Amino acid sequence: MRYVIVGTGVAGIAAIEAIRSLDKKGEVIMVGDDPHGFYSRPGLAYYLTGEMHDKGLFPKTRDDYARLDFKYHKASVSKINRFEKSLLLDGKTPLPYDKLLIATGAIAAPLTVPGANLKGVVKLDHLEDARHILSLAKRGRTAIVVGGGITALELTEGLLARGVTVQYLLRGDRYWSNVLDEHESRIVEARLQEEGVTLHFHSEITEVLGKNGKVSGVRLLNGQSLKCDILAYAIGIKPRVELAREAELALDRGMLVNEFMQTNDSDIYAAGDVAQVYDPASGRSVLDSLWSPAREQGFTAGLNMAGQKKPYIKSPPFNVTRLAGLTTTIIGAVGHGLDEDIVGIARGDSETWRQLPDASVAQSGFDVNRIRLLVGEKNLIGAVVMGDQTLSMPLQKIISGKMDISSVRDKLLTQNAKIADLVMEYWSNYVAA
Amino acid sequence: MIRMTFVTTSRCFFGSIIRVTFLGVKRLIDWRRNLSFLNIFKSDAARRTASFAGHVVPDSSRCVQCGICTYNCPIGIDVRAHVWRGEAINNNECLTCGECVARCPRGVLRFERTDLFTTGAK
Ligand SMILES: Cc1cc2nc3c(=O)[nH]c(=O)nc-3n(C[C@H](O)[C@H](O)[C@H](O)COP(=O)(O)OP(=O)(O)OC[C@H]3O[C@@H](n4cnc5c(N)ncnc54)[C@H](O)[C@@H]3O)c2cc1C
Ligand code: SF4
Ligand code: SF4
Repeated sequence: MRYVIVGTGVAGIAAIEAIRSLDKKGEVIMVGDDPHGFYSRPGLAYYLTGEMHDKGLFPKTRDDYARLDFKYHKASVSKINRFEKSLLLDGKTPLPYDKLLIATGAIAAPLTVPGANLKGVVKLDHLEDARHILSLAKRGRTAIVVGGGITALELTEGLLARGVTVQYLLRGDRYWSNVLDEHESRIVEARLQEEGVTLHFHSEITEVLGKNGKVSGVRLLNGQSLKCDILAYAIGIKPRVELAREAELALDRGMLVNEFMQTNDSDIYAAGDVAQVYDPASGRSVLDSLWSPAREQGFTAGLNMAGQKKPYIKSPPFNVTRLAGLTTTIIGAVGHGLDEDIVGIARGDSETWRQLPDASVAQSGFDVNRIRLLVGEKNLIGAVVMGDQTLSMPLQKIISGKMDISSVRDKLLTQNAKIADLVMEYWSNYVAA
Repeated sequence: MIRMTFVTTSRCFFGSIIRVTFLGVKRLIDWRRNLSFLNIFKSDAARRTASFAGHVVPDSSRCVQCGICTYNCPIGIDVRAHVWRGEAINNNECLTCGECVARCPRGVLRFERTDLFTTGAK
């Protein structure tokens, strides 16, 4: 049996671990086009701020890889030939497979305005991108950041940490409008301003201006132009589905898979950011761009490839992140609609966060410590915890465990309810029981 | 009901971080207070012993393998690898200094009491 894994991200690595937990003899081959192989992509944000050095981003040691006993080809897969069950590497070398996993991840949605290919226009997908940004981010330079979600702020924070002056352009009237509520957006914006970031709302770039092949500024829809040395964009991501499309595998926005992470070709599986996964709870197929789901999906795919029928059970997505220095946990369904600053989905994002069903909202806290709960009929269905994270773990368990909160529901929904205390009391009783 | 210890703890926890073992120890104590507040320790006796005993446990689903914990461990324990495997830091050499707990940007790590002491407490 030959298993081939395309992609050296967390989904691919987890798949190999799963395969090896069941099949010690089969041949496992991993193919990837990132020169650095497997590393922590979310860690790139901490590399930009200087909290982490790049060598520390690699979680696995040589011994770990040796134990997993697989071959690695640094190559780009140019084609899947389903009828011969073979891949084409770098446009020339065939590589036959018995079971194939596509874990090609996602890349930044491109900026499509004129001038977007000028030097100094940057994004943050890979380690090489982060290094490139650091080579440009010299003290005294100026940058414009466009886009939304977490990555736009990670770029902003990284540039600020390197002494770059940052202006942040938003298309709409507030930050991350379809996940955060207005109050939360304003908290983040105020903190950015405190850090010295100039915010421009209702601003859309129509052209990147350049001098000698380098970016020198941007022109906005309202005719205004702004100067900058760096233009960083994070306007959403695109699952890397080109191989699947050419091979005529089932696609929507990502590669469609069943609960066994299997595509419509029973020997081909998909997992991670590239996969659009069936969620039995909502009956929909959703995209996530989150590390833990990518790992779980990869692991599930690996088990199924090696012959153990095991369904993937999607838990409510959640992410702990820093928004303008404020630790924030987002769990379950918390917002709705579209965010003008992002096309499709952004990094560290989940579509589930925007599928807010009918739910009441309970809020508490003051500017830096804030909790917002989305209260369903009997359960909590989502939460945003900003600042103090004491309740983040309990809320994650209460939401993912669909725990019955009837006993405190009414209290939570009374005006000026002390939400944090109520949740803590509920949790304490549960733990003590 | 949310006490000052919380606020200060989480501030120094996630905010700008100071690298002194003295503070590490203070943080550790704050953390154990937090835990007792969470009512994980059920009796007063157990609560008292909790301030002597503890080891680092992960909530792996929050981890993004960034490596900050490993990088900051003063004695070079590969905390991140433990988290990947979902294991507590059971390394005898762990100083329980709290450095990894404090530095993790995602609240993956926390102190939990060691069973050894609770048996004695009851
Ligand atoms: C800056 C940044 C911040 C993030 N922040 C968070 C966060 O806060 N929280 C969170 O949960 N998640 C975050 N994420 C998302 C998280 O990193 C991803 O969800 C996760 O890495 C997905 O893993 P994957 O294995 O599916 O894909 P990837 O890690 O993207 O790996 C895919 C691999 O496939 C390779 N590949 C693609 N096409 C080909 C081809 N044709 N041939 C060969 N190789 C190919 C690529 O080189 C790549 O190495 C962040 C990501 C980034 C970039
Ligand atoms: S610092 Fe936290 S998120 Fe980073 S590897 Fe360690 S436990 Fe995981
Ligand atoms: S508590 Fe201190 S010694 Fe123990 S693993 Fe964490 S950083 Fe290392």
